Amino acid sequence: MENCPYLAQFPLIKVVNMKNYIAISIITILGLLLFSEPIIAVHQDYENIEMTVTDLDGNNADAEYDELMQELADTMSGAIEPREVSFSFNVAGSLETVSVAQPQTMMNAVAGIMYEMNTQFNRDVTIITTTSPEIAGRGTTTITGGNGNGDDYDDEPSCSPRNGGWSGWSSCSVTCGGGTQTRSCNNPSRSCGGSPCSGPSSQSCNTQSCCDANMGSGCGNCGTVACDSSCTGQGVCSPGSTQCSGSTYQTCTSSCSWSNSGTDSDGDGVDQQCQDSTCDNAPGVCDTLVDGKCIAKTSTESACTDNLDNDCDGSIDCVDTDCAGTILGNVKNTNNENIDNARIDTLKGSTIQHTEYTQPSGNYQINNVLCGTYNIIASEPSYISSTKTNVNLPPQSSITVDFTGNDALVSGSTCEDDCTYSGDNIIHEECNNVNGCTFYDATAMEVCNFAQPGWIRDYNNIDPVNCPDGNCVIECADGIPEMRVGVKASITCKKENTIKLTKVIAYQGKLVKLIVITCG
Amino acid sequence: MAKKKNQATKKREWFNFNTAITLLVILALFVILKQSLTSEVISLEEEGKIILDKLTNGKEIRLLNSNVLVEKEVNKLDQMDYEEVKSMLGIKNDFCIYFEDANENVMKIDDINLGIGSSKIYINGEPCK
Repeated sequence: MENCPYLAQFPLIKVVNMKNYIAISIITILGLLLFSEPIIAVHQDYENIEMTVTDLDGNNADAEYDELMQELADTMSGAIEPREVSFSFNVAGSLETVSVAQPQTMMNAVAGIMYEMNTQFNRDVTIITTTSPEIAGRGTTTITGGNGNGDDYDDEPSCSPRNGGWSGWSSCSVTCGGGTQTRSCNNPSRSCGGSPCSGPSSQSCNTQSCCDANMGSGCGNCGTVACDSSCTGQGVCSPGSTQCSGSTYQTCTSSCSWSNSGTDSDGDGVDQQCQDSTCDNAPGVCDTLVDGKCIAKTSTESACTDNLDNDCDGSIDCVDTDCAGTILGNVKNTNNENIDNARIDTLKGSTIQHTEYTQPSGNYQINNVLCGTYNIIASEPSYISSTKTNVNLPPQSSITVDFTGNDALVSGSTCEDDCTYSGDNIIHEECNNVNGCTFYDATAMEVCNFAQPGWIRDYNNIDPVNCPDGNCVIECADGIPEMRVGVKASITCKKENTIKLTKVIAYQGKLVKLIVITCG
Repeated sequence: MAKKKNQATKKREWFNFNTAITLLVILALFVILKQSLTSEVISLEEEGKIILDKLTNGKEIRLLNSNVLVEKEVNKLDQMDYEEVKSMLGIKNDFCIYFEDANENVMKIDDINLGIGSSKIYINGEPCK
């Protein structure tokens, strides 16, 4: 307390403790709030009204106003004794009078009015009359703003003129959105007929938008920040984000709405991005992987040598009929005569692929032949057959294979007793019952046709006599192709040790085993 | 004490020099015999590999072309004298070459009867040659 000279001037304060002091402060604040009701009323009535201080004649009364404020300041500081003061205001054409008798009330009321005039109403007040009873030390004084009567300051004999000076600008009424700040002509106050302050006593301040302070944070999905920091105009998603809505793939647009953006090239209703086949990623694709590679689907096997099923029909390259071609040609005998009704067989290995017959012109044409390598046999019972081996048919092409010139068919009996033609060592079913050739049965004739002597064929027709257990094969043997019972190779050696080495090789289009036995 | 000495003496007699030598000889004979048998089998296998290699990749006879059997070469080999073939291949033991299909049945190749090789080796009871 000793360090607080201000409080030392108030002896009552010394006897109260801090708790009481706080209570007193609260009561005082409440009291001030009660006394400030007129201020609030004035504020409410005159809000947003621009005011100027004029006298009864309509002339500027800023100086009188300043003098009145000085008078009030002196009264409040105890320099002069307050008396009853009556103020009448003409605000927006409405005459209002504030008349107070009690000094404190007067001071509060007037101070409040002055405050409002300074800070809120920009002096849009016409002071009609300003009267005051005698003030101690100044005699009977009537303060009449603007009419030149009884202005005791001007009449004070020992007074020297003092020009008014502006105080500094007050703090802005708001922090953003446009407010006002004021200054007062009291630094020093004008007195004794001195010049009033020139220039405005208020100005705009903090005019920047309140939104500026909040923009750009915490408001996604295309939303904007409102002045109350809330987000408006938000979309349903964040731009660029993706999702699968069921089987439909969607991407969030720049306007924050979902838009379908998936790929469903195979039209199965499931976008590739939503767990459809990994192949479904390009126009016209096939959902079938070929050797782990996704291939572009075409209407036909567009490439016949890429080892891919381009049209996804399950056939690759030369296996696909799209890659087929045509074999055509002419068959003549050694007299250069066209042979009619000669049989043309195309074989892959020993399997007949196509059979066609020549026209009277000797010409033949075999269509839809899969590309690849063939053995082509031209035969006619009256001629020795002629064979052309390893004839290559390129994809989607046509080749001519003529049996003319050196390849022309030679007249004569062709069948030998082993059912082969004399010129090709291939068994032909046409030789059955010709020149001692007799097939065991129809099955043997069928399966041994175009085979070579010694070949083994499955025998599906079970002969209960010769093959009671059904495990039989047909051997297209020398002489007469006949059925035989398949016998596993049994090796014996007079010496003690036998070693068997096996090498798998190809023979006549089939895999066979080359066996080497060593014995010692 | 004398009894114990006699027992020890008997024990030493059981492990005398002659017995040890006999055991060693038996062991040595067993090892040699086994080694001989093993080397003989190994020799047969090696000769089999030599036959396969020389007949499929050799200069005089080459039965395979890109792993496909060439009948012409098979016939050529079939026409050769057996001892001549052994000499050409540089082998001492007897051999037989033949072909089997997928069902392990003996296959005939062209004009060849059963196989090519020694008449001392039999295929299904018939001589290889």
